[in-house]
Amino acid sequence: MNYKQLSITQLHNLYKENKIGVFEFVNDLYNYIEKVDKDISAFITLTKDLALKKAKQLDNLDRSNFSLLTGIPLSIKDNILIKGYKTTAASKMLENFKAPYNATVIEKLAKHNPLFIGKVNLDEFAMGSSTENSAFFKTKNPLDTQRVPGGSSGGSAASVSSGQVLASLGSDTGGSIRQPAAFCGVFGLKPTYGLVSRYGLIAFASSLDQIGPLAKNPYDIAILLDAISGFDKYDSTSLNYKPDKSYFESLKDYKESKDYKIGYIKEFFNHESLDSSMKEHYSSFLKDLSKEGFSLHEVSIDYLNYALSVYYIIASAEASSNLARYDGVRYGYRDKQKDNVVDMMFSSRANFGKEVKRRIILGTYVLSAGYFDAYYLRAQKLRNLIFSSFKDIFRDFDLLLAPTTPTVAFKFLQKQSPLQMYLSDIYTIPVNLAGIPALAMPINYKVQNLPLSIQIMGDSLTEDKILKLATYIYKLDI
Amino acid sequence: MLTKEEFEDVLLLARITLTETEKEEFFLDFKDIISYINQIQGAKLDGVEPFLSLGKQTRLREDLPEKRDFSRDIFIENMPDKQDESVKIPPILKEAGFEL
Repeated sequence: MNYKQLSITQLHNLYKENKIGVFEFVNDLYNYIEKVDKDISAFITLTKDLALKKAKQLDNLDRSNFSLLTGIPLSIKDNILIKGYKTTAASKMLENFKAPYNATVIEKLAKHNPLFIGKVNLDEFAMGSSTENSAFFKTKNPLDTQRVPGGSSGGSAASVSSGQVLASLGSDTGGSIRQPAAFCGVFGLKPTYGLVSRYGLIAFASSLDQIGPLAKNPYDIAILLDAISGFDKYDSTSLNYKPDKSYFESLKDYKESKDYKIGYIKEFFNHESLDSSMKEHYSSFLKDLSKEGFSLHEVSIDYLNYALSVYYIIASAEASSNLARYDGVRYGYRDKQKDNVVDMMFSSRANFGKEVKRRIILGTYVLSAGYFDAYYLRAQKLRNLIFSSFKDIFRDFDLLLAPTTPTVAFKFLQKQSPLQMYLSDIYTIPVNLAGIPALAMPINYKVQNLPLSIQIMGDSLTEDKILKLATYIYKLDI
Repeated sequence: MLTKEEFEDVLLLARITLTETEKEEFFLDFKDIISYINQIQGAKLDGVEPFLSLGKQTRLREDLPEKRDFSRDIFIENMPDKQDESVKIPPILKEAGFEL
């Protein structure tokens, strides 16, 4: 069984044609995982009992009722709650925290009876771009284990790329699905803000966070998006939207994407921090698309030079508020040596990792009296301008293209300052600020033997257009 | 420019403690980051409204209890210290190690 190549629809067909038992499949898969994850370290928790129990149940059912996701092995980023299992956010603060309820996305997925294989590693509280900020261990890039898988959904991307699961759910606040997808050579989608419920996602920055799928091809992304998207009354930012056709079904018409007007973002393709070899390859890629008959135009978006600052101010501010609950009182780590509640709170919170502390401190600063107007308020105004810039462009264009990352996956111990690390998110951040959807997908170009990734952005609720173009590019194999 | 004192005030507000070495390192990183984000001071923002999460009104519902799948047992299991079904914490009013 070539786990690395296996897709959701392929496994689904194997089940339907009775070529393999569900229990047999998942049992073999866990043997594979035991071998492979020694080198990758994607998993924090393996939910083996859960998966095996489900597999046994499924083997007693009539397979004509199997939906596309039935019996499909999935990994879940460890900041998404699965009831009864540890959800750690890769933090010492929640090292032994057991989820008292299921995230809505888990409830929605469970209706299809997939196999939840395990919880995967991330940067602590989703803050980071390499998964090196996990309080437990580092995850390696399956394409080159000397390199990072990206972050914060590094475990998600690595578990898909290494064939340990067929797909994963990650979360994206400033690029945390798309950047690791790019680094590990897989597909990753950040949906429109509000399309997927955040109920049961450990909050980082509430106006930016979105849960999304990582998989090996656009069809699998569509299948997952169909399952997890939709209105949730438990998330007050949830949109009451359902597409006319399922995302998966709409891919039959992928050729429609040839008629789209597509812009490529000048500021990004010409950016000073974009690796020069990558720049050349992207140029060739865009030429390939043009030659195929796609309508491509260079576009410019205003205020993008402010995006990084705006993001770090807003995300840190929201994080400082969302992480105030980790005080050692009701759950999570508590320093039991302290004899009064104030000392206890301070001391318990000392257990956060460095990057988390950094962002809480920054967030507190920009919200504090005397600085709120200069930083937080100004950042929200700039955010509005960035949001409007995208809205304006989408009046004339169907989709936008950009690189996903300025470099390929970097090596471990390539010491970077916090600010340098933040700069690796320049292409992904504006998307979260504007609340629009974006997909990262691998293309047929390499630098240092690692694949490049193109980012396809669309206006709110145009995931169908994004996925159609992705399918076309995927089939062209360019 | 940000002073060491201001930095320590922020630490108090954030309820975060750092060791002396961490303080030195963080303070330097912090100054770098503030320097960078100060670029937004140069932007012309007259008449621009702040972004309000997609302009939606707060959705309300009736103030009635609802059944939700939430395990009381697991919640209690997660408590660091407890007495029956109540969370137990150290004294609130006992003198803390520093002034707030």
